Amino acid sequence: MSNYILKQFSQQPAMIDISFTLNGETTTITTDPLRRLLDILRDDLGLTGTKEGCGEGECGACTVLLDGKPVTSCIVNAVAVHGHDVTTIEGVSASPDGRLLIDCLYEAEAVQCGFCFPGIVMSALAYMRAGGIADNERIRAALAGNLCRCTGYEFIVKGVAEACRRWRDL
Amino acid sequence: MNTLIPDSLGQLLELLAENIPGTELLAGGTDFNVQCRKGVLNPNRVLCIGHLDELKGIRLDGEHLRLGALTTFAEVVANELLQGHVPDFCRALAHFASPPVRNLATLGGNIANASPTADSVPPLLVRLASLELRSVRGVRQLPLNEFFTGYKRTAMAQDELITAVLLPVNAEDGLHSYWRKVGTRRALTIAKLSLAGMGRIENGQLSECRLAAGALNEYPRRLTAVEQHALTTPLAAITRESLNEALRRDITPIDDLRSDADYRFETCLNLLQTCLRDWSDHA
Repeated sequence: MSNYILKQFSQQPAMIDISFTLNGETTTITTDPLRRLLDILRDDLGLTGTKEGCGEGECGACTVLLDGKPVTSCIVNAVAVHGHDVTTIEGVSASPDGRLLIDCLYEAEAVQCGFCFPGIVMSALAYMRAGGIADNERIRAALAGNLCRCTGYEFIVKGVAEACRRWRDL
Repeated sequence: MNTLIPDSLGQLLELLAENIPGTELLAGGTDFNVQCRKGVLNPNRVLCIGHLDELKGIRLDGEHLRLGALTTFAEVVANELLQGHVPDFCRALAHFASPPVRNLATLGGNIANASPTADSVPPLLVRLASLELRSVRGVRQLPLNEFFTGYKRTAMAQDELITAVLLPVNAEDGLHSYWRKVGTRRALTIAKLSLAGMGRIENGQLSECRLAAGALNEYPRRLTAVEQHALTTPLAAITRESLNEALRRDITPIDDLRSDADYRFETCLNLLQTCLRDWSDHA
């Protein structure tokens, strides 16, 4: 972060250049340092897979990976993204574990309306990548920040467990 | 509104020293962003500090575990040094918020925000944590117990910031610990109340007892009357009635959207009894 210099702005909107890796590609945008990552993704970059639910970091619909860790992008500011690595739902199928996870969730019929699902996939993928095992309680703890109002979670947990099992057997 | 991104801690301290009213620090952003969108917070000037390496890192520093103010809850939960010295503290913070929020929210932010429901504060209070506060005038240490002065009010000067949280390295050695948060669900809930405790039992009586409650007063604080009662009474003689009498001197619970005062008081009594029973059972 040593490439930062003190920046002061006297007029609105105050803009700075933000560079980060987005789904494997270097991305540079000029934006308000306080702009939400969620808005950058959806409105500035057209990646509308990430959904806005509550806008307060409570529902998890907007979850993306920041340096591999799940974060709710509605409470992440542009300034926190500079120099970091972001993965969204659009980048998931490019990786073998992401592809496997999506397949397993599909086979488990884990999706109903789908609004919460991009966020659920991101949290589940982070769990798999942290060496997560097919343990119902641990999977539920990993998904505790993602609300789903349709499914009752059973098939989601089943799908994630199956993905963990198959990924470890590969 | 001005947004400033200081290059170093030194530069940040100089900006703070300008004492401009309405200055807010932005670290993890979990509370800042919500409050700004709701219009509760209308900063005049925002200082972004999330990238400052001087405020990061967990290390052993003499008699203390030094947790940089930007340490996230996820980092506390996963840190091996902390797991070795204060395992129960790590376990307690594993119940804070949710995994995505734990990856963002910082210890310094949770404390500086001075919310009555700050989840990290009761467990820190009973472990006798102190804060390292810094300004251009210098650095000082303040016991966490003396940091809060009222609802959302702290003893921090306008030009100061929390640079680290200091935990005694032996904070849990030979002591029983307790932590319980009561809310409507496990994840993502704001506490109706929470209780943290550390204690030692010798010959059927507590020889050390520290208790702290969250969400019961205008800021999280030690239950000194209950502690005193517990330290001067054999465990077998401590009753719900005697705890009730002591607790009334410590807390005046509030009615709000999450719970009412009666529920909070009765539930706090339940937790106190559970805590003491747990400790006796394992004595």
